[in-house]
Amino acid sequence: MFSERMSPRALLLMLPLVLVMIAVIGWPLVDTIRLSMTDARLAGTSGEFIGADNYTKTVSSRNFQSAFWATMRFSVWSVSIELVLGVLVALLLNQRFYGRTLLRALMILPWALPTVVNATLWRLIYNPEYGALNALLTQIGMLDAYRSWLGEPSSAMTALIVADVWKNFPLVALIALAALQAVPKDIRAAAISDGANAWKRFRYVIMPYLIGPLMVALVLRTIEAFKVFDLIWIMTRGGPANSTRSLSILVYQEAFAFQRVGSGASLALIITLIITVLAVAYLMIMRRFAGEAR
Amino acid sequence: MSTLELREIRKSYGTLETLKGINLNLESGEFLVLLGASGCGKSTLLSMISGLSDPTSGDITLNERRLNGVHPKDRDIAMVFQSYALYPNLSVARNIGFGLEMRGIDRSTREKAVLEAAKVLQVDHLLDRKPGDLSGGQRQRVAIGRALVRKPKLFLFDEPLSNLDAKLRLEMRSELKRLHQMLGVTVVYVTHDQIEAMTLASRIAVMRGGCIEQLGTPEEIYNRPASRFVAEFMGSPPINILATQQTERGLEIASGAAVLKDLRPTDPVVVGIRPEALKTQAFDGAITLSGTVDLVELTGPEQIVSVALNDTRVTATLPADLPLALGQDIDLFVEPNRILTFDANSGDRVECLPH
Repeated sequence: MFSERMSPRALLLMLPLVLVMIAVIGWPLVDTIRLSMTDARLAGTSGEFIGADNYTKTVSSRNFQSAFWATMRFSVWSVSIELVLGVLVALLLNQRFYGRTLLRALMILPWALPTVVNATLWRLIYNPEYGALNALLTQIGMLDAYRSWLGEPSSAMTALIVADVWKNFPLVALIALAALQAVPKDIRAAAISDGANAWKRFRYVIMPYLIGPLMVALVLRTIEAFKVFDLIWIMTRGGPANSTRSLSILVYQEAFAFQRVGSGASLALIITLIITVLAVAYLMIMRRFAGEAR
Repeated sequence: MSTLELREIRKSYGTLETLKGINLNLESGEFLVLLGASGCGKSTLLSMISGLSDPTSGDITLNERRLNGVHPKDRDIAMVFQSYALYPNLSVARNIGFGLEMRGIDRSTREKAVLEAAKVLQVDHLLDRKPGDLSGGQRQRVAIGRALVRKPKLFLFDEPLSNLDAKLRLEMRSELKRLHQMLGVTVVYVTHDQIEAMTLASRIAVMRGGCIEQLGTPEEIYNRPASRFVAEFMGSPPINILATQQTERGLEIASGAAVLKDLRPTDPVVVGIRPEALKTQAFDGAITLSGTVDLVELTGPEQIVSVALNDTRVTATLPADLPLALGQDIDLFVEPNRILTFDANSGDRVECLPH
């Protein structure tokens, strides 16, 4: 590099990008922070400054707490299942068998679908009157009468998690498969002749190559899962009895349904903060792994 | 006593037969080199001995124990890979001891064995490092250590020096030879490098197209090659191959540059003369080749001289201090019994010299 300090010329060249960033990220963020400290409503007044009132009210509200735990349940379950399932499927697809290429290509399909399509598809499957799941379960004798999977608080969240896993495990599988293919053939062979069984080979030979890419997948998927909106909105609208209402849906309802923009903004910022903390934590873990791998 | 025995080993992939019936007997303490160009089947053969793949037919026995279908870990065979194949996340000590660890050997025995192997290979000061922190030569030593520590009946090496730079390759070559002399282990070693084969082997199997073309000591392979292929594969600069014509004067080589009076082969032949068999001083019974100096390459200890003979060329390795000018006339002399004759069609060596 020419110099540690940035030359005026470099600053000038970066200026357009900086301006765009300020316009599309910086300004909305600042305005959201401003809004979150007012009692502004969607229509009418621009609101009075009320300090941190929105935050204290939001955090202590039962709605926020139930939405937070619903989001946590959704994220933790779907991301964990996606990771385990993704790795297992990747291990399978890394074996040699007839039709492997076709299967690899097919696997991508769910992930390539728009969430709207996926959500609609699963809503049809779960349909209480003519859904495929009900038909299947009654016909094989596991169920006596048709159930409303999305209409009962006991099953709605599970149904959502299944739909999310179905759509998103292919991404994890794809990342894991790419990582698996980077494991040198000789090292696998050496481990076999060293007498390592399948589990030990996975643990000592494959895992070191898998862990970095899997961390990336984990970060991506957790952040996405935490922000979940469209899937839930289409399938349950947060119901029944708010049992599947995620934080994003709560923000939407607060700001646009109940028209309380100020408190909606404070909620949105709280989600941003939680996600930032998650992302930073993951980055630190990733850096540790990167340090170990070398 | 015979250690490793291969009987009629064949390997086919679909209709493609890559090994066409390999027979080998290996004595205990022998250093056998499988030599051949890429695709000749030498690595396939090695991986079948190690158990990483199975022959389509044929038997592999080690100390009279049939190995077909036996899991690699139970074969008492250790393999050293070209890419070293070290476990990148484990320390050098654990890399070396991994095989013992997987076999459930207790910690103190394991550590003792690891240290012993590391000392032999002079990597005992690196035991806590990760493979990523080591140089190519050190990694190679660790890979050998991993094989050594298991005290196997047979060592397999798959082109172990190919990933090293030229200088290190020479060092490791001598090191391997010393190690073999010191430990007296039995080795099967795959390479495409004829100098590695010559220097290391107690016997060489030259392979071509899924068959063993010739099996013999380095001296036999070099001086009495079974075929033109083997003769051309061994030696640098390569052997001179010259066309011949039967005339009433005898066998003319290089369009009459020399005549071999005593040779009366029944079938058409070509002759092979090693560059170092050509001398510039006349002696009794020598065959003379007369030509002009075409190109001189000084390597340091010697000069490689290309001599134009009528419509062809021969290469001769001559002393470096011999004054030579381009275009000068030169007489080259060769002992008749250093002229090898090969059947022009089959390439097999034919004996047609009266001794």
